[in-house]
Amino acid sequence: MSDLAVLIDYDNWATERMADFCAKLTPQQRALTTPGTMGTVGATLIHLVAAKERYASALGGRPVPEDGVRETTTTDPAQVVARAKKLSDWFRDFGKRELDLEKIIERRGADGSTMLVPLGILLAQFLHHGNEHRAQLGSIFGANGIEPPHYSAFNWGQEQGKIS
Amino acid sequence: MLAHVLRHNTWANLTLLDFCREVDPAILDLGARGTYGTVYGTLQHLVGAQQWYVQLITGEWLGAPIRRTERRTVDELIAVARATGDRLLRIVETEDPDRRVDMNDGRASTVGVILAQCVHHGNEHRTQATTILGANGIVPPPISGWGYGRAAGISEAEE
Repeated sequence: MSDLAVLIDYDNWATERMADFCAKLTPQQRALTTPGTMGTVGATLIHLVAAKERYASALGGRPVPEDGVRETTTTDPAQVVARAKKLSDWFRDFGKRELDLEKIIERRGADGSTMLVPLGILLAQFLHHGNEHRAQLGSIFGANGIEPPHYSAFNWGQEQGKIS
Repeated sequence: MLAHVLRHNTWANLTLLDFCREVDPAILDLGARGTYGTVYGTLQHLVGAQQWYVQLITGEWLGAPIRRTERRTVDELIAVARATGDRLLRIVETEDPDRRVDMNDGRASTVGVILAQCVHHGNEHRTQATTILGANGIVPPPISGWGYGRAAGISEAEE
């Protein structure tokens, strides 16, 4: 397994874990936030998974599917959980490929604008972005007295038997 | 395969540390609900952890180990962040991610998991530091992967 595949597997696990956790919260809890973060629990989770949809779209050279998560239309936490699992499958396969990190690919933003970007930069952004918004969710939970799920890479490594 | 990911990690650490070196020192003692601690405590923990991750993989401490009970200058944190960031780049060029290393607590971990933890941990605590800054009305520096691409002159993608 390549070092990139390890980080992708971790991102998949952490995003799914966070989506599952958020889906089990009450609507009132998903409306919580704290200063300095992006917004509510619900909006942050939807943005986290919607952005992952767009990273997969750019890396795969295909549009976001009809049932993909979008900031503008998605409201159902169950859809977010389901798409997080589908995206994990896609990224797991992607992580096994031989990649040219300097290859220029087209990336479409949430506003529909397009930009050209090296594949390696998009991967760096993808991994940063997931960690960043999971951290914001952790802060919102902590600020509101909700014990967050354990989602560090060491937690993942222990579950996978990679730490023992 | 992780070269850009780890270059982003180093660039983001140094961008945030440089920013914090220039602000009113009182800002370093600010905190916010739901985060790790103060801005300074978060940065010190972030850099100290990266120093430990590198030591786990290489067996070598780059600089004197950073301890929670002391307060280094931001310049000292920058020196350790730069040295450990450079070493991480060399690690991914030579290391087998499946190699297991001793964690000094009776457990062993693969190198790949330690690298994943290093990237996760850096992003997690940089986010907490920017959350504290934002919660206190201070616009944090841009430290995303897109920002790294622009700073490196290899991408024009924006948020």
